[in-house]
Amino acid sequence: MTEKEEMLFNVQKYRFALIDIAMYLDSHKNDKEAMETFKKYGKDYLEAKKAYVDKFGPLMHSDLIGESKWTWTDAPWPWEV
Amino acid sequence: MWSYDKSLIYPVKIKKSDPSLAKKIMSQFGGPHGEMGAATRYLTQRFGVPYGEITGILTDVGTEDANLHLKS
Repeated sequence: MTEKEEMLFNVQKYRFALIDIAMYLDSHKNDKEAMETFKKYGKDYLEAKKAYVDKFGPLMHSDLIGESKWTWTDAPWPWEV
Repeated sequence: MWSYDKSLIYPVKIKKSDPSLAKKIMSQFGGPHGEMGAATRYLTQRFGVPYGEITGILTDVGTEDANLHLKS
């Protein structure tokens, strides 16, 4: 695994956890432990995403808000990796 | 309603091209019985549901159908 793949995998890992816990919370909204887990992985996700974006470019439009150049359409797309 | 992340939900590496399989996957993606239709159904059904919890679940499941299954 290259460094880029590894850093992207971290983003994907935490994002997947967030999505899964969010769907659990929809039907268990008062589960404090799940809420804490959501927050924990949420922080990990934000950190992993920032690290990746700073080094390899945007994963979503909002990642370009602080930039001067529009790099969104630059290759590679996810299916080209 | 729709936003795009420039990454897959899970890493996939295409090693060789297979047009015949690609065609089947494309149909599963947007075809008559594809994931796009399923996602749209969840997201349409949620408007008629009288329970907030179910509205939330249908919203998130429909979103994940679009995300997990359609992500490309």
